[in-house]
Amino acid sequence: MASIWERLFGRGDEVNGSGKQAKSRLQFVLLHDRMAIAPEKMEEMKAEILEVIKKYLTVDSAHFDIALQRRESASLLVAEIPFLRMETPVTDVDIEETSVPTRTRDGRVVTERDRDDG
Amino acid sequence: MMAKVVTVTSGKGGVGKTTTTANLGVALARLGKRVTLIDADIGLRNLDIVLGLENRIVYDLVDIVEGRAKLRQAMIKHKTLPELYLVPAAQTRDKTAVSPQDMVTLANQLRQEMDFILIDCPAGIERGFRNAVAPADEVLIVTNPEVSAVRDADRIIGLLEAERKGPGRLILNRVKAEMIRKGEMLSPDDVTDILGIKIIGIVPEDEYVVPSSNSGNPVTLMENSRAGKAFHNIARRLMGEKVPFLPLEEKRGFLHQLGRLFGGGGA
Repeated sequence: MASIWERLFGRGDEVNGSGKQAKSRLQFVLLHDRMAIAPEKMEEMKAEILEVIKKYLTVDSAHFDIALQRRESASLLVAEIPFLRMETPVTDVDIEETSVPTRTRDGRVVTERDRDDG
Repeated sequence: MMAKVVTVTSGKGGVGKTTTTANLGVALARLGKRVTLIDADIGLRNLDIVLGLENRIVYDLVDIVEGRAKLRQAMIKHKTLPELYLVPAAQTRDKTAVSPQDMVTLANQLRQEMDFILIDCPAGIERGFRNAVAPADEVLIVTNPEVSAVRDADRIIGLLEAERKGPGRLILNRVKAEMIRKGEMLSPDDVTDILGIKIIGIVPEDEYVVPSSNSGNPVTLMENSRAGKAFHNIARRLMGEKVPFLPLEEKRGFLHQLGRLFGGGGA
């Protein structure tokens, strides 16, 4: 998080220095290093996963992304799948008004209902 | 008390592993700990010269492993710190002269008498790396804010996971605050974001480091060195103390202090 000071006087964030480039290039190359998977294979996998999800949801394909994250104890494959609306109506629960699904910060899909019910 | 075995590694060469090992050893010894440093870089011995002990070597690591010397005979006492010892690497042999099991045995022999055993790992990910990591209770990964060093650090973190020695803690060495401010260098936050491990130290680029190895007196012994201060703090963190990170830059007057007041700056 940039502090007031940093935002006023600049530090990385709004400067388009090579540091930013270094970070994004590293993130890209490490994804492949970590999975020991060729970039083409990765794209193939993404495309296949996208196809499967599209059978059930209307996905915003342009913003679909799968990335590798490392947490303290494990490496995770994290998918961001923004979708536009449910393709099929939900029949097993009674919903009075349309429940708009939203994405939480960690990429899970939740609806208003989920959150209200805890 | 049983010693803690800490291996200092990096993957890439030239990022400051040996400097880090020497300085942490000196800092821990000055904090009253009994410390043995083991140079596991067989064939490319260096920890001795950085510590100013190159003229005192009689026996080395391979002599111990092959039974020509007792461990105690090969341990070189530091000139001014009576509780700091070095087990030097052999210079004329290669990494295959020692096995990971030999390193475990050696470390276990020392555990009773020491508080810390620091192992300087050779660059690379082959036998020398496996030797150095085998007895480790904790691994420190040294890297620089530079793409090749960070990439190699990531590889090492992966290998440590595979060897069940992970995830280790990170030392970011040779940090230049000025360049970070201009956006021309990866910041400590960038690097921990990318690597996903905890950071134990941020060491600023410091022009005292070269003269200190020239003379064989690690920077931790120099009062004015910011790198020395950073290594001292890492040593305290290794001992389990909570020590706040030094600000990346030296005091820059009132306005800078004001900036820090608003929750920014610092590392």
